[in-house]
Amino acid sequence: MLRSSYLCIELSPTRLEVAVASGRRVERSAAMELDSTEWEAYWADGLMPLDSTLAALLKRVHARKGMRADLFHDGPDTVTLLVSCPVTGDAALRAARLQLAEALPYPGTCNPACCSILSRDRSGDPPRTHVLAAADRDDRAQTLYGWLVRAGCRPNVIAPMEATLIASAARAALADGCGENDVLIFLGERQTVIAAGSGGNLRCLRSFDLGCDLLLEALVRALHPPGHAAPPTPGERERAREFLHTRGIPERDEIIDPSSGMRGSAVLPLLQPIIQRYVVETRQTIRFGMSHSDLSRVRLVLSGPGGRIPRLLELLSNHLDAQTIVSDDAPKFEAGACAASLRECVEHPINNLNLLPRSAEARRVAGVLAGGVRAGALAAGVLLAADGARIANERAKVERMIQANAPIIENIEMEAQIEQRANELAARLADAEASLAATLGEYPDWVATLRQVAAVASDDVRLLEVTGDVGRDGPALTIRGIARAGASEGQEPLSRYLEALAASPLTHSVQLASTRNTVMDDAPARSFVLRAQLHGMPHPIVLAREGKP
Amino acid sequence: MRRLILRRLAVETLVVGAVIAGGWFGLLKPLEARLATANARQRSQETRIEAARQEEATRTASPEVRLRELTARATEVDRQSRASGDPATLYDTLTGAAASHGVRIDRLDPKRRATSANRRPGSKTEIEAVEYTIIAIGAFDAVSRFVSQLEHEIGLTRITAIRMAPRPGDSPEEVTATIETSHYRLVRSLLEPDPKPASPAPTKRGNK
Repeated sequence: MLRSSYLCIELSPTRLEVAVASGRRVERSAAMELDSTEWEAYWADGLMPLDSTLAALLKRVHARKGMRADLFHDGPDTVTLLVSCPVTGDAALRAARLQLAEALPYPGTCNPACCSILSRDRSGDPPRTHVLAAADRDDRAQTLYGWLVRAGCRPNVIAPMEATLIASAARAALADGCGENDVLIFLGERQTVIAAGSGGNLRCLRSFDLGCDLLLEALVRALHPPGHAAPPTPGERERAREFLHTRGIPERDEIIDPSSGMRGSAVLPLLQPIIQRYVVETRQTIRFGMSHSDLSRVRLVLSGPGGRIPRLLELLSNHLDAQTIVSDDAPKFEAGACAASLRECVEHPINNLNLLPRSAEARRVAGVLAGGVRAGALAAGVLLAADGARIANERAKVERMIQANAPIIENIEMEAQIEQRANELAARLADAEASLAATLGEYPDWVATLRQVAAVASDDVRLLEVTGDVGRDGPALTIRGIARAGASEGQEPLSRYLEALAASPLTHSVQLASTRNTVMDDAPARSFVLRAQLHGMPHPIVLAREGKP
Repeated sequence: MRRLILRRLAVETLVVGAVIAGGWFGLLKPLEARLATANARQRSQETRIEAARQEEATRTASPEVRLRELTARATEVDRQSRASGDPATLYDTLTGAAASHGVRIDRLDPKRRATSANRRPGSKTEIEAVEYTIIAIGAFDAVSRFVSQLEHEIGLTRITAIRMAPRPGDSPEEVTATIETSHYRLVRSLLEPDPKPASPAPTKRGNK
């Protein structure tokens, strides 16, 4: 996996070191020794005197412009605490913040302050949570921020060096390898941390401002030629550092500078008080911080950047009258290599511990928010575009279906029009046919009736007039004629004529309206008037309508 | 500084929000509305097609066939109406028929009647009737054929009364037939669509 490299910078009163790291590994580094007596002056000038030094170091490690930079420093107003409290999570962080605010010599609200949960005891009732809390003055943080920006870096983390040392000590004390009687002494450049733990629980941890830089300063003063007005050069300081880590605390008669013949007795008075302070601080810590203060039962384990200073182990053991060993984890000094403290910062970074100035933090947060807004806008834009494309696609699909349905709909509409025309015509036709049926009414088949009337008349019956009409009671026929009188009753030609007419399928009924005796061809006869009701039938146009829809 | 950053962020958020809202309301909403309209149109089409399919399944004859049949019937009624309705044609038909059967027309009296008398209540059909009194003289068979043609071949014709009597005098074989007929005609052809009701005349309103 590709890892982007970044800068890790350590700034202490005695040293400025720049390392290029990738992931959790230092790739290259460069350092410059500083005159600790100028420390206050550097800060007073906003660290501007260190601009050129930092630029030179950045050049040496081939740092790119705008490279991300994590700065670890020993600022004059930095406060670092380890707060152990029997709560967890946010409650632990709140408790740590409260304790930090109480410990600060300046207001905690308007200065950068932060807390990070380091670990939690494995047992206890309840188990304690260990929170690393740190704070700095905002103007100091701004100075550091401005210094990095001037050097062309992109400040990412500004954190106290002491925090890394405390975190390392706590981690070692909580490790399974830490025995019940072990007291870990982490000798840092500027601070020392004493910690004790057992079974995954941190029993005590104390940090105090006493580091091997003091031993270094003593050696620098001793090795600097007497009478020289000029301050010790970085080269002299580098040699003194190498001497401290390779030869350590000299013996009284040991020659420490062959050129001048200087012996250890010239240096020891400067180193002795410092060692004495180590002894006193260690003893006090054990007495007040541990449940048993019997040093004979305690095993001192030296670690940290100064853990392997030769003869320091022996001196502490003698003074404290306790078994003392050097931890296997104590870093070995290599001349010209990256300092152990800075390497620790790279290898074990502390999450969420950042003392960027509030304005920078605000700017960073604003940048993150602005980035979020832009990302949101972009996402919204993409979503809008995607939604628009989806809608357009869906609409195109629907339009295609509409187009495909259009001929069918056109056909349906045409059929509906035809249907409507048919319905209108059917209504007009039905109305007309009903009107015609009512107007034409029923009437007989006149021709057939007349032929029938003539056909059934014998020679004895003479028809004088036949009148047909369609009256209120339907079609009727009035027949006026003369019939011969019959020889006997029942032999009347008129009766036979009546019977024959009544039997006709064209007549409904036949009635004799009147008869009167008369003479026909000199023979007795009867003149008569018949009224025949006829069967009517509708007009052919009406008949054609019946049986049709 | 902090206030400035916050203000800038707020302005940026507002601008972005406004652009997004503008995009949403200006582009997507109208697009969605158009999609909804298209969907509604498509659904309406589908419903219409489905309804037409169901209607077609229950229909015995297609609208075209039905219209064709109805038109044929209407044409036939119209034809009969014309045959009996036109006075000139009718006169020619009557005299022609009489001549063809060897019947002499002694009298031919037409009498027009009003159309409204033939209208059924609620009906739109207007029927015009012309009545004739025809006195025809001829042999009984010839007169019978003449009457038969009157009855069956001269459109919407109805014989309302008939009187037949032997002709007195030298021609005992001849009869005199007095025939009263009614000839009907549809005032408007069935193939003409119904006249649209006249729209009321626009009323002028005074400007206030």
